[in-house]
Amino acid sequence: MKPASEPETFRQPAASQESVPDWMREIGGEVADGKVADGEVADGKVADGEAAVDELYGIEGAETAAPAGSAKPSGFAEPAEFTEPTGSTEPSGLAEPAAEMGEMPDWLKSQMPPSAREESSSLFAETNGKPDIGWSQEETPSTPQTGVPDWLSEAPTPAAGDFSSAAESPAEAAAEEIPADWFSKFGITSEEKPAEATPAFVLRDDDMTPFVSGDEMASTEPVSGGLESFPDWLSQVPTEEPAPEAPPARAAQPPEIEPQADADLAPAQLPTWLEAMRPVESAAPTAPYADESVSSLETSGPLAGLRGVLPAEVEITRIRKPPVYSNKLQVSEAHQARVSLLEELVAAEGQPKLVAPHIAIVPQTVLRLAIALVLILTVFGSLWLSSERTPEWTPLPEPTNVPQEVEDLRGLIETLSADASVLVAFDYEPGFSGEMEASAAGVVAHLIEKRVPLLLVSTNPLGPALAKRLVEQQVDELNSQLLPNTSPYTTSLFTNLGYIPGGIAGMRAFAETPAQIFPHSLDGEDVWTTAPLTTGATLAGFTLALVITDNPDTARAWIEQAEPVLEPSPLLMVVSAQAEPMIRPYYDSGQVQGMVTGLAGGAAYENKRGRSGLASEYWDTFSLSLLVATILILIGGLVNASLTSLARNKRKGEEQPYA
Amino acid sequence: MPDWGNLAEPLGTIIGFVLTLMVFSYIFGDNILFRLATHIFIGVAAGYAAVLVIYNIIFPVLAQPGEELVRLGPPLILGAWLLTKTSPRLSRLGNPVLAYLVGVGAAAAISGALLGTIFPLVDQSTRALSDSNIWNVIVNGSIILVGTITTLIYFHYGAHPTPSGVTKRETPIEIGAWIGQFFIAITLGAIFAGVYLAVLTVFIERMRFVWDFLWSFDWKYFISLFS
Repeated sequence: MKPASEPETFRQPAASQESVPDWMREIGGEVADGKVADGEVADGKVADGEAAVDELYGIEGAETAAPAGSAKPSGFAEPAEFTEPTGSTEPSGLAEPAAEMGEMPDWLKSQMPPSAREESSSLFAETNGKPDIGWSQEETPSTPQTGVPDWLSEAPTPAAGDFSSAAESPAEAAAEEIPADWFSKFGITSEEKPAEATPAFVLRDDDMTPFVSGDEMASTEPVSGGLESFPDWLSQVPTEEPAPEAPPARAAQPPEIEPQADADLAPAQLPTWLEAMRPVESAAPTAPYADESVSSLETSGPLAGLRGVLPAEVEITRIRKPPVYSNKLQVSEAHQARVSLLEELVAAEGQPKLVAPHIAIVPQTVLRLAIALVLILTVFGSLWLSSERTPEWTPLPEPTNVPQEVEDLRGLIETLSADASVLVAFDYEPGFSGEMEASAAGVVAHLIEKRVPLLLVSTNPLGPALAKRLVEQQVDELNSQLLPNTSPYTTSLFTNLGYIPGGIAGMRAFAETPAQIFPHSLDGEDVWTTAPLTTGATLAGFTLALVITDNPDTARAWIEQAEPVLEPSPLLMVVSAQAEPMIRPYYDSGQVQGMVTGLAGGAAYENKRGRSGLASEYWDTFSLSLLVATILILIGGLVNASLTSLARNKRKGEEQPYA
Repeated sequence: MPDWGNLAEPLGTIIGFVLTLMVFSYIFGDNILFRLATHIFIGVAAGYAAVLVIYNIIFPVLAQPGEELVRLGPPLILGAWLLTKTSPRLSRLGNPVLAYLVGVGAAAAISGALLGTIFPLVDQSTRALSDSNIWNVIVNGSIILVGTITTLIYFHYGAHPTPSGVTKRETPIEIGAWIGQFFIAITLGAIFAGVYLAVLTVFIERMRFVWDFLWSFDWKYFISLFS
């Protein structure tokens, strides 16, 4: 349906004048604008009789097309004034000029009472070749018109508002005066009217009174096209149930035909197999169960009419003021103080810190040169004294006062038999070789004198070279002091296995499976074929293990990783003086059975054995240098304390000038 | 034609003497001689370590017979896999191997620290109280107990703000920490003394080397090697 305000509907091209019938041309003077009529014809919106009547009697939604099953006599479609301007686009077979009684269907004619036939004839009687539609656009329906039947003239005048949808312009009125019979010239018959299935209006009780009484309304269903608003004679026509999909030909049939046919039909007897195939819904004795326990029925919104809908609307439409949350952080004074302190700390980080001027009596370079010169002269002086006078002019540690750990180590080595196997780990840095060689020289010399096979390893990549250097040095030293009728010492009993990779994990692996870590020595010899160094041997197969190290961490690693595997064989250590404070607790706990610490330990070991070695050679110089160094430390401490005291007194004097 | 076989030792001695003097030049402050000697030492040590690892670790492993090589396959694969860490683009691929190494090392270190250090030393501390001399037990036990507890207290950094705004530790904690600092000072002093003794020994060894070189080096023999 086109909107009512659409002007194109009423303004058709003038070329359509050719299809205007003769009678319409004769009334051309009465039509304000002939284009309108043409337009109406062209659009096929000619005098939609049903819509006009519906509008006349206040039927809402009458602008929709009349239902097909209405079978309404066409004679009620002529009040063109009430034709919906935007009425149906159908050619309206029902709206054809049925005023011509000759074209009225016979069944309708037979249903009409004689009086009504006369009124109908007079209603659609032409005047001067045009249909008498009773009143014009300018005339109100309440105005009696000639040619209007009594039943129509007695109809209550609709309210002004009821004509809101009626044509208001003279052109529309003229278009509605077009006789519908000229449609026959276009070959349009009543059988071609398309069926309309769905009525789209609602009856109002106050508008039905003129045509249908209350009893008739009770007996007649308000279906299809407002049949209840027909006159009395028409209301007597038996109505039929609306057929939504009925074709136009069927809709034009007399209504009594189907009841007659239904009466003649015998009730169908469905076979049992067909009964069984019926849907359950059709065979169900009762209607589907509808849960009406929930009394809430939705009355508004898109879910109107549904029962049991969650009452979301109530929650949604609940209007309440949202809570107000303060965006101001609640900070206490303590928090603010901490924030301020943090800000000060952060700000202070970016500021350069003033370095207090160092009070120096002499420049640092001069002081450093002076200390170095004193130490160098002390060492050279001691060496000169040793060369000019009898060596060892400073007494070595007394053999009777040798530390217990040194004595334990010496005793364990002394008890070694010729078939014993000893593992020696050289784990010190080349930079400390001066101290470690002096400390371990006596111990290594003692092992060489015992003529036991030594396996040399190291967790330091440079350890194998240091081991070779020290062992060869001691072999040469012992051979130089060889007593008569004594076989010389050789390095054939010593096997350098090399470097243990992997740090702590490698050390642990070597302790558990030394043959897999070192299948061969550095020289490529297979060292695991002779007892006790067999392939399956662990570190426990060694008679003892000696670790020479300057690093307390390395010493602790050997204790932690190798000592548990080495048990019950003893673990001995030669450590630097700087590592002694860290390793001594392990000696006290029994994990290290013997220990030599630093040059003092080495000198004590040599003196205990009655041999002279590197430690003994260094001992005089060491003693004198240590004394001088101690004096320097004391002097430096006194000077520093004096300067600090002077600075403090000076500061106090500045703070309290009048005290 | 120099006698290269006999020239190595005196030539090495001369080089050692020169390098020693270059290191001692640090007495005058940081200079190019000291830096040069340091770089030489680092380079020589790294080169020797690389050669040692190649000839002592890698080649012997690769020279294993077939069945041994199969056993050593996983370590070799992991070792080759670790080479991806040398490339910044492929560095992430070596993370699993590195994680394996770190995990194994950490596990060995933790177990060793527990079984090899903590438990034995705790046992040793309690054993000191089993001396037959009651005075030794009292004195030694007191020193061990007080020294251990106060040293641990010293490293307790828990504190509370005071009403005056100053953050301080609790009074018992403060007293224990004050006592503990003496034990820590004694320990650090002992370590410093040990370091001083160690470096003094090294210094003496170098000065003796210089002395011997200056007064005992046979220059005539060295020159004769070139003739």
